[in-house]
Amino acid sequence: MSSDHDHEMGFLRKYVFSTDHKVIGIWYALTGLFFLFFGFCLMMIMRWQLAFPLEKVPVIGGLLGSTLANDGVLLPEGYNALGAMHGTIMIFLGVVPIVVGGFGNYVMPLQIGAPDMAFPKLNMFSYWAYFIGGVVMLASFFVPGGPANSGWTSYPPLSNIATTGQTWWLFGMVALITSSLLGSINFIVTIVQLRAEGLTMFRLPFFVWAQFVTAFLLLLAFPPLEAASILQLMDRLAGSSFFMPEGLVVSGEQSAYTGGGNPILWQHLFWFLAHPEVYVLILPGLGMVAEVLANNTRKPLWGYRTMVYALVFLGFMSFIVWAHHMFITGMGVTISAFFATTTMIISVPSVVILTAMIITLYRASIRFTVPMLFVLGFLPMFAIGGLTGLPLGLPAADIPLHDTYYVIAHFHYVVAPGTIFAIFAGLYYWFPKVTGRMMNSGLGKIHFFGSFIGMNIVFGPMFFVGLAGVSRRLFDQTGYAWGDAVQNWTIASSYGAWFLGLAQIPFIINFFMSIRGGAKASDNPWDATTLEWHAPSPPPHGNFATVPVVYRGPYDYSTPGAAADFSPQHAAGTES
Amino acid sequence: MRCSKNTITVIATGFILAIGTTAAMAEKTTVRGKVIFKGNAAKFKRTKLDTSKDPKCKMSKKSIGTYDVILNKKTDPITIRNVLVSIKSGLADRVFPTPNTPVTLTQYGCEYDPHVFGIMEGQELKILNGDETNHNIHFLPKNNDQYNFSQPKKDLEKGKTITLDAEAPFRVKCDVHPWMGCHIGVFKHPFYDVTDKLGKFEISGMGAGSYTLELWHETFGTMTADFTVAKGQTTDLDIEFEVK
Amino acid sequence: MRFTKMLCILAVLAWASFHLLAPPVQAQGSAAPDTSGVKIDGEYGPFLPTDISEHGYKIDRVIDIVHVFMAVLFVGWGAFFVYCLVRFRQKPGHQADPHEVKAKVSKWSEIGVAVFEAVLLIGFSMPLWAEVRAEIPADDDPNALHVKVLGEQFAWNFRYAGPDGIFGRSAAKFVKDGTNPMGLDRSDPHGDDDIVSGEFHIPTGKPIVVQLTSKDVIHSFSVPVLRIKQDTIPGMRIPISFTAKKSGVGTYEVACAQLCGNNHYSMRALMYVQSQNDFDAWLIEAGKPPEEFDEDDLD
Repeated sequence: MSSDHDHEMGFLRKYVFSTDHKVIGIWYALTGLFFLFFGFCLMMIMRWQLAFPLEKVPVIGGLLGSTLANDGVLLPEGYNALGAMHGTIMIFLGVVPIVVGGFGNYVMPLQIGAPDMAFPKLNMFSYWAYFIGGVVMLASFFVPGGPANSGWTSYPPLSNIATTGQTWWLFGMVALITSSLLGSINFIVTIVQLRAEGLTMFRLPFFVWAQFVTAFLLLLAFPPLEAASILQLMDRLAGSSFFMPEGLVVSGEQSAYTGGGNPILWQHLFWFLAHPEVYVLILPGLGMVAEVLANNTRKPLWGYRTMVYALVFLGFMSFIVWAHHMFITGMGVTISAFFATTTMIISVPSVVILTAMIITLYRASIRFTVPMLFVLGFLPMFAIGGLTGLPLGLPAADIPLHDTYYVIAHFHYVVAPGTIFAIFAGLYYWFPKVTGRMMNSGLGKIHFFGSFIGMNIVFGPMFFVGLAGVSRRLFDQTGYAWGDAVQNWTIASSYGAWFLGLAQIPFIINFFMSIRGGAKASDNPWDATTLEWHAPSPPPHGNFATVPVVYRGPYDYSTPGAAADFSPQHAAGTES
Repeated sequence: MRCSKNTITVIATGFILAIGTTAAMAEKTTVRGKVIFKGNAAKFKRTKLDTSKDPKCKMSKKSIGTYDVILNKKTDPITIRNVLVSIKSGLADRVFPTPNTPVTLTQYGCEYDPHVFGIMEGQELKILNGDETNHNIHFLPKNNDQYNFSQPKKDLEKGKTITLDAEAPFRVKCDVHPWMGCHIGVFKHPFYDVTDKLGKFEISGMGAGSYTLELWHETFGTMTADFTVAKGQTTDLDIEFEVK
Repeated sequence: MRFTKMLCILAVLAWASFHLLAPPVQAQGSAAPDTSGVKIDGEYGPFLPTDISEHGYKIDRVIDIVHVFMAVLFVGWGAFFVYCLVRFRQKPGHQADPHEVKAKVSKWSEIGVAVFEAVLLIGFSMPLWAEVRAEIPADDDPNALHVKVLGEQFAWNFRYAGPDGIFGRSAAKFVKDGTNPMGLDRSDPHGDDDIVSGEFHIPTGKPIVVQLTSKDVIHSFSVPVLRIKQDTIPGMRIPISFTAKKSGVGTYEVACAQLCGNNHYSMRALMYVQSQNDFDAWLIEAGKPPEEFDEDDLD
């Protein structure tokens, strides 16, 4: 861990196969951002087909190949493939690697005053496992029949009888799950073992708490999906029938599967992961929002302890709500009553956290910095996402809304203007720490307002399209009377998506220009209190010149009688 | 550049065709005849198919019939339509050039046209959609790729072109309109034909010698028949297909 | 800076009005476009479509209540949010107050939310769900019409018991595309009169029991105008029940709501809601043996 032989390391050891949590974090974030952009591009192609069915995709139509498209016109199988890969890429290759692998890896050890993660080599391995998973997923675009096209949920028997791409998808998933499992163990051990002196659990920044709970979710929720993925691989490759009942007739021919399996089993195993996964997507985002919020309101988070309790409760509850995704699989009255009840209960801690964040604004001194703008965009958008979960959680109200665009709008409000805004907030906020330079705030504001408007034009109309009865994953909704009636709304959504794409251009320019050309940042440009701002910008290998000692809670802002409106955690003085 | 390349191809193709035709003319050998139904014809009635699932089908054709058995009941004797007749043995190891003209399979009125056909290995198969609806063509072969692709809009020009490897006749179906089916036999030689409305077939150009014909029918199964043809001659061969 | 703030507030307001006020595009009335050669009845637009089921209004009511509740919460919460943004923006000489606000309002509003959710769940959703899910007429109930529905890639098949009211045997091995899509065993005397159709015909005013299953993959039987949606799962037989209103006579659409393969979007069937007399007449018509096909008639 000593930094003596830093200079002797070769380029590859230092920048590529590095065990330094910061280098790994940067790799995670950059790879994740690439996938986020890639997944978004897939969606922009799909939006074209939805808005203008069976018309040639402009500009890139020719690149789609002959499996996904014909003569530049997207085919239904191409649409399904893009849809499945959009979901998979955004969740497993984009958002989770950025919020956990990227921000978690980079910021968390700094915030707890640690020189590195507890297991640096394991950390490096989990990045490369993720990288392999990503390469497998990308490569699957070039196998015969195209990539997986059974949706990101991959329900058998459809996925069992799908083209080769599905096998690649499963191998990719096994690699990604392995990566997350290794990462989560590392996070838990690091947070438990490597905190600086004086940094008690209730002095941890909220972001670290969020990472801590997230790590437990990953650790406990992913193994069932890993098992399920392997079972599905067996079904596909070894002719087992874990998910295949008997008596199937596919395309007029009796299926060769022996039967005896149950397709619902997959759904239970899948959603046992995938519901906690939703919280894996959002909790680190909430953590980042909390950091930026406290810093830019110049006051402590309101009800920090309550928020932590709510967070832990949320994590726990997320394990016993999974079957609310399955209300219409023929679920009985008793079991659905249980899951509907847990679903209503889980909304309470979410409301507590959100309310605490809003009340933090009260009697604050709000600085409208770019990261803060994204947080202020996040709060109402996340509220919409949360609130619209209510009718979906009530089994009766769920009937007309299940598997419609209403659901899509609901969870996208949680993860797109929700988590992705949190990611942008985090990027603008910690960029000076990582690069030693500030990002341009003018471009940042254009980026924010463009994204804010774009996101709402994309997802707002989807609520109405969903209420109208339009099922999700339809290649062309105009063939149905209820779909044709709201086609205008779908077109509006599509324009929103392309506008949103344009709005990312200032960000991309800003990001790359600022790495070398941004204004030089001091070690603590935001006048923040947490430990990462105690380290130099960018922090060297080993992070801190002297091991910091913590004297106070994480958000000691505007303390009466203090010299400045912030008192860093490592600053000796009156303890709080 | 591209244009001139095409021109060369066209000229070359014409040349090869000319030589091929002359060679075939020199020893024009033909086997022809009809496939006669032997059994209880009253058992096999052709009925209308229920296409109510997709009203757009009726926009092309008012109604379509079942196709698993089509007897030409107006001929005397009654003959069988859609029997794929091909040379099974007698060709030894001769290799034949692949025709440059594609075989066209059209989806029209939610029915495949033709319903049974042969194609040579490597010969282009062009699949067109003549309906204002979505078709999904799903190949169910044993050796070839299980092609499964959609043709969501009317397209009678470009379509989709594929090639196949030799294989015994296999089923192709539309997953959107489950009643739609057709059968393709892929051969290493060009000596095959499908019986028509009069139950007739004609195969020529195989050269003098003794051969075995294979008759394949989607419901009745297969049977074989031997024949001999001399140089420049035509052999007439009416075959009785016994159906229990 | 001031400009930014104004923009921010404007954006929030624009967003709020966009979502909460009446949307500009209204329902297109009964003139639903003719997309398939068959005119579809009902009104469709950016809200819930026409409801022709007897239980549907209860579901719609829960959805309405939840949305009003959401709107109230969001507006109240949004007003406070905007107020804070304006009132507590950073100004020279102004400092944040780090003392924890004793927010009784938040506590009570949280409790209020929890209580309201409990009421929604226990008072509305659970009884309704129990009614929809559990009160299904028995298989031998003569007052109900039983229909077997079989999903396949990519079509719906509907089977009626015929005059004897008893379904015959069926098995996977009998399935033949085109002529026997549901695998009926024609040697079973009960199965002789069974009617299989690609169209869904139902009478009004009579409880209908639909028994759902699937041939190949998971589909979902979705009829928005009837407010029903149920996954069809291979290997499982799942019954659902509903009654169509007398006023609901017309032609509607059945869709698949669960991704089932390439042409999921083409998995559409027509639903004819008829008076009992018309329905009986259709049953007789559909029960006749298929017409003989003579291609010469077509020329």
